[in-house]
Amino acid sequence: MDDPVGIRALTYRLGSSEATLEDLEAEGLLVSPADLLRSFGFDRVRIAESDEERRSLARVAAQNLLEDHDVDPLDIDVLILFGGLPPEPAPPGEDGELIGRFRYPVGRLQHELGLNRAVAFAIGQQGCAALISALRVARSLLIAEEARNVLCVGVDVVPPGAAREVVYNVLSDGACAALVSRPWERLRPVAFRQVTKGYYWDSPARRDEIVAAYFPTARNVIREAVGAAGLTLDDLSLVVPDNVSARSWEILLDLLDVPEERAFLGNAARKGHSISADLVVNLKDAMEDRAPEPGAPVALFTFGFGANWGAAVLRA
Amino acid sequence: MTASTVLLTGATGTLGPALLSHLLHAGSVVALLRPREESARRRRDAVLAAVQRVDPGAPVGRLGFVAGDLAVPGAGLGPDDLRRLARDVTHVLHLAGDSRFSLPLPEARRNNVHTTLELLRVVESFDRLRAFGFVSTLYVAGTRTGDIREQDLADTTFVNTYERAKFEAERALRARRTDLPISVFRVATLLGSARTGEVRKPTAIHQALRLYHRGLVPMIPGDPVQPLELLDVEHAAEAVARLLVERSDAGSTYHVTAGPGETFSLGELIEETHRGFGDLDPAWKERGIEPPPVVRARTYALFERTVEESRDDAMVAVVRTMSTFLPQLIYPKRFARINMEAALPDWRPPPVREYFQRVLAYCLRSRWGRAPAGVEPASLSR
Repeated sequence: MDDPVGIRALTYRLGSSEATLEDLEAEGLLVSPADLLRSFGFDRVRIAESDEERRSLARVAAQNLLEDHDVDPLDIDVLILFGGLPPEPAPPGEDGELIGRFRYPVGRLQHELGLNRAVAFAIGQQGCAALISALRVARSLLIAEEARNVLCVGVDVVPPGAAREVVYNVLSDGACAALVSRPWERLRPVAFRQVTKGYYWDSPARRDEIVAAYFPTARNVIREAVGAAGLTLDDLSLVVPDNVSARSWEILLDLLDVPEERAFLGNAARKGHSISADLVVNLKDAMEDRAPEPGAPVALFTFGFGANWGAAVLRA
Repeated sequence: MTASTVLLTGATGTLGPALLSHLLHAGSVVALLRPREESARRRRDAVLAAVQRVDPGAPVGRLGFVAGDLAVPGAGLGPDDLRRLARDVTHVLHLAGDSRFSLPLPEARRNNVHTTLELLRVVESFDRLRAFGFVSTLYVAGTRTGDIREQDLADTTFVNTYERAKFEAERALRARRTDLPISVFRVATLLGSARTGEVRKPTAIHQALRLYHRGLVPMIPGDPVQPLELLDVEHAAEAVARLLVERSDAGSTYHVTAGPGETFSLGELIEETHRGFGDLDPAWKERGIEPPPVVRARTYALFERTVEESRDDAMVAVVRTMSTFLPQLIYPKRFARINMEAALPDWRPPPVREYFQRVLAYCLRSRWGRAPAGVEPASLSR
């Protein structure tokens, strides 16, 4: 019962092709001018080139995690697939029967990975905040001793030809995987705070209100998550952001009175906003780059349209 | 002392009817009304009705009108009107002004400074003039911080063109204090009627409350503990009327403020607004709007710059509206009220807490001035 729950392994895979803001602008895939987006902290994104790559991103990310960390697929008890973009429904069967719609990506992923003992389900409709829900569910299952290994896999791929900008954020294609295990001492999730405000469900209609609501709610959610962990903002050794506009993070950190150097900023320019995979991308890179002391408090925060604000506090 | 005859400009403004009520009890009043397309009779009737709504017992038979426009030479007064005013008027109260914060400076000057100078030229011929009162703003102190004395009028920078124009008008008046009995009444921000909550003309603070209600205020610059100088219309009117007619010492300036402990801090204003909207508008409460955090100047400036750069028309409009007055909050001030207390020691406005919720209720009922306040809208939100 007292076994610690921690994130045992992290990995991610971004689209194989790189495009600059100017490339995207030339192809008409941006809403805002490239120079404006650059001033907001973006520079380039990663794009999955082929249908095959788009289909296989999640599998490749998860496969890499299992192989790199020598995890037997049969040791996975639960598979959670998550994403920010709503998945396109599978087409109906040839005769129009609805059974075609039941071709779930999570079942296929379980099959392709050989996770034959795992229960598989998906988490969605939380925008970029889906990872926080996946981690929270994984931790709850592990604490309840209903599992020893939960594999969380996230994937978001922008449909070919669609604009790669959402409200001044430039989108990459990407997938990630996080293996949450018991017992595991490192990267222990110790507190979560999530807020969903359904009033803002119609994002285009409520766009300005969402912009105004973002900062006060984000500040409160992060403070409350840190408080729930028995910590203060001063105790945080590392803040792991999502890869939205660097300017918005600058403002949010100022609101929180957290020095910028304690946040792992910069990946938005290098890797773009890979929607629900961002936090895994940045957590993995930050652990390698900043190497926080074991047990040091690390805060994760993201916002997803819908509208969802989510924060987690981990012990490194 | 003989009864007063007051020439009043700005009778149709926020303070007009409440001031008229007080002035009419003390004597007679001639209200200077600008000639407009709307019939003079209708405008006079509107002023009379507004006074009677404020004070059903007001002796409105003592209220007269004269057509004039301070934007033109001689205020557009005919020779007969000018002669009559010069003969009868004992006090002048210059209440008219253009309180829009976003005007280009030349227009703000035209409507606040040039008009004041024109009025001074007119009153030079008034034989019986005992007092000339100018209604100004506390924020002629601009971006200064700390203790502001009533006699202070230091050149500084300003948050908006209204502040600057009022400062320039005061400076022009100060230069004439040797030959005219000029007093200046710097009035706090008027919230509305303490009795009914009525807001005759929404101003910047009501605009800010409206944006808050619409969920469009992400943050406010300033310090949560800094006091905000807020005042109800009835007591502001009483103070100005009494200072003009009973007590005004020529050459003095008065800070017409509620005094320490009777107003809200910025943090309290946000808290009370949040509570009020939640109590008065259940649909608003369900939206889960968070109180806007009070932030440092640099944080607000960064947000402002980001919105400007984003070129998001709607949000830019919101931020530009807020930025005509919110930055004043980053320049905390304490307004001394020595002259005020000496002149009116018995003047005691109610604490803002006593009537603030009535003002909010009025704003919601009247849809921020767009609907008759007696009509209960089906839904108060949006």
